[in-house]
Amino acid sequence: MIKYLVMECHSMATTDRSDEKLVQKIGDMVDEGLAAKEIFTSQEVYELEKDHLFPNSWIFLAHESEISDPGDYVVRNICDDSFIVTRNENSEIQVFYNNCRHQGNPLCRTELGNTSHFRCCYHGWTYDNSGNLQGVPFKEKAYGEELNTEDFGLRSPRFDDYAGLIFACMNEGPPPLEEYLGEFTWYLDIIAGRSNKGLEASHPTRRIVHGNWKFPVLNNMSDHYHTSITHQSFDEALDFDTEEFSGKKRLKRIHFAAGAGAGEFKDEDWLGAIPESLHEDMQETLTEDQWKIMSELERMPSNCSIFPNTSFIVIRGPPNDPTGDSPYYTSIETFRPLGPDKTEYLQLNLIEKEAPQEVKDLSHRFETFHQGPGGMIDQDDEANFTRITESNAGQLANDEGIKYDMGQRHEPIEEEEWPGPGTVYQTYFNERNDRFWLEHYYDTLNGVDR
Amino acid sequence: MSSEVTGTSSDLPADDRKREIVEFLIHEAELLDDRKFEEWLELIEEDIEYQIPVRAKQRRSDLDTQFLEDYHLNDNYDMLATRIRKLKSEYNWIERPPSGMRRFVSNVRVAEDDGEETEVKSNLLVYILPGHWMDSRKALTPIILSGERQDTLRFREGSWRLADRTIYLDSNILPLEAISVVI
Repeated sequence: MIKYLVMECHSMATTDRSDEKLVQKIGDMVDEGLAAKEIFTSQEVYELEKDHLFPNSWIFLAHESEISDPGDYVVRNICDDSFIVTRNENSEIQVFYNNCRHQGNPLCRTELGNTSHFRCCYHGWTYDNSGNLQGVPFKEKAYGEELNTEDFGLRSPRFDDYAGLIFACMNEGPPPLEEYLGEFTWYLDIIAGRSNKGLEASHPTRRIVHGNWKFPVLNNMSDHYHTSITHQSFDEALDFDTEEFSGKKRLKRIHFAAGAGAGEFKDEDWLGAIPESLHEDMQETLTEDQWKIMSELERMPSNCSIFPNTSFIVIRGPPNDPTGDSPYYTSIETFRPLGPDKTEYLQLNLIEKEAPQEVKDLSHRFETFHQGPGGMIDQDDEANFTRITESNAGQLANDEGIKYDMGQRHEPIEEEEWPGPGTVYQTYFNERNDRFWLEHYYDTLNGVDR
Repeated sequence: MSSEVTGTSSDLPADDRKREIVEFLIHEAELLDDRKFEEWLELIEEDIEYQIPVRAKQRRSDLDTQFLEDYHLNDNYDMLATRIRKLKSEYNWIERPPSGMRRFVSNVRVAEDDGEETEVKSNLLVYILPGHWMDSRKALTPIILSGERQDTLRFREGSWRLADRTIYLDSNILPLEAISVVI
C-alpha cells in the first residue's frame, strides 16, 4: 500500500518538475533574446499553450461585419474549442461555446449562416440566439421537475470588441479587452478603426500549414529583414522598379511595441491609394496625431501582430499593378495551432464600407494575389515556416537557441519624433518586437500578471 | 493538339468538337505537369478570369451555394503571367526544389453548342507532394485536391483557348500551404 502511494506521488512530482524545467528554460533563453527551439517543435509546449497561453489571452475571432444582420453567425475556434459568434435578435454581438449543454454535441456544424435558434441534432435541445434554452423535447416525460432550463443556457467565454474586431477570453483572470490591448489600441484605430462608417470583411480563406503557428506571428511583427531575400522572386516577377515607385522603400522603418501588439510602419503613401472620397471620413475618425502619420509623415502601417496569434498586413500597390491601379488591402490573419507542426491559417481582408464597389473588388483581388493560399508573398513565407519547423525538430539541432537578439545596440527614438505610443525604434532591421512578444509569451505561460 | 484543324468551329460536327476539347484539356494539363508554363500561358486568352472560389459549409442544402463570392485565387491575365515569371526565378523558394504534381482530368462534359465559345465541365484531381517538404514522414501524406472545373473555351485563329475558368474545390479548408503552381 505504502509502496503504491510513494510511486504515485513520485510520478506526479516528476511531471510538475518537467513542466517547470521547460518553462524555466524558455524564460532563461528569453532573457538572452533567444527562443528555445522547443517552443516551435515540442508536443509538451503545445499542450502548455492550450492549457495556459490561449485561455489566458484575448483571441480574435471575427469581424463584426461578418455578422451584420440579426441571426447571422460564424463559427470560429480557439485551439480545440469551437465558438458561435452571432448577432441576436436585438442586434447585440454574442459569443457562445458551440456545445449543447446536455452532452456537449456541437450546435453548428457549419461555418456560417443565419438562424434565430440553434437546435442540437442529437436530442433536439433548442436555444435562441441570446443563448436561452427554449426547447427540450419530451421535457415532462424525460425530466419532470429535474431540469431548470434557465440553468442550461449556452455558455459564453468573456467577449468584447474593439475597432470592429471581436475577441474572446476563456479565463476570468486577464484584464478587460481594452486594458489587455493597452496602447496598441492607438495603432489599431489606424489599421482597423480608420472609418467611423466602418470597414467590412471578406469571407475568410482557411488552410493548413505544416509549420508552427508562432513563426508567422513573429515574422509579421517586425521581420523586414527577410523581405528582400524571401520575396525576391515576387519582386522580380512584378517587373517594375520598386525603387523608382517608392524610392524611400529601403529607408529605416518605425518599429513599435505598445500594449499587446507590435509592428512596423513604412515609408509609403497610403492616401495615394485610398480613394479621396474616403479621406475626409478618415481624417474625422482619427485623432490629429494619427492622421499626421499618413498626411504629414507619409508613412503607413505595414505589418503587426497582436499577442498571441493575430497579424495584420497592410499593403498598397503601384498604379500599374497587375491587379489594377493603386490597389490596397488590410489583411487579418489568425494562426490556430493544431499541433506543434500544424497550423490552421484563417485570413480575411478589410475594406471601407463606403469605398466604391470597384475599389472593394480590386482590394479583395489584390489581397488574394499577395496573401492566402494563392498569395505570392505568403507562399515563400510558408516555405520558410514549414522548413524551419522541421529543421528545428532534431534532437540537438539548434539547441543553443533561435536568435531573436538583433538590434540590441539600438536606442528607442525620442518621443517627439513619432506621435504614437509605446517603445519605438527607427531602424532598418530590428528584432526588439520579437523579444517583446517572447517576454509576453513566457510571462503568460508562467502565470505572471501583466 | 489538332493543329491541322482550320476554319471556324461551326464547320465541325459535335463529336469531333468534343474530341478536340478533350484533347485540348489533356494537352493543357500536360504542359502544366511538364512545367512548360510559358507554353501553357499561350493557350490562355487575355480576358481570362481564373478563379478558385472559397467553399464554406453553410446551412443550405444545395451544392451551388456552398461557394462564396470570395476567392483563394482570382487572377486576370497579368496576374497569371506574373505567377509564371515567378516560377522561372531561381529564387522562387516555394518551388525550389519543384513540387511533384500531376493533374488528372476526367468526366468531361461539353455543352451542345456550335458557336465559337463553348462551356465545358470537367473533374480535376491534382496530386501534390510539395517540394519544400523535407521531413520523410510527410511523404506519407501527399496532398490531393479534387474539384469540378467550369471552363469557357474559345476557338480562335485555328485553335482552342481558355477564356474563363472556375474551379470548385471539394475542400472548405485547403490541405496545402500554397497554390504555388496553377492547378
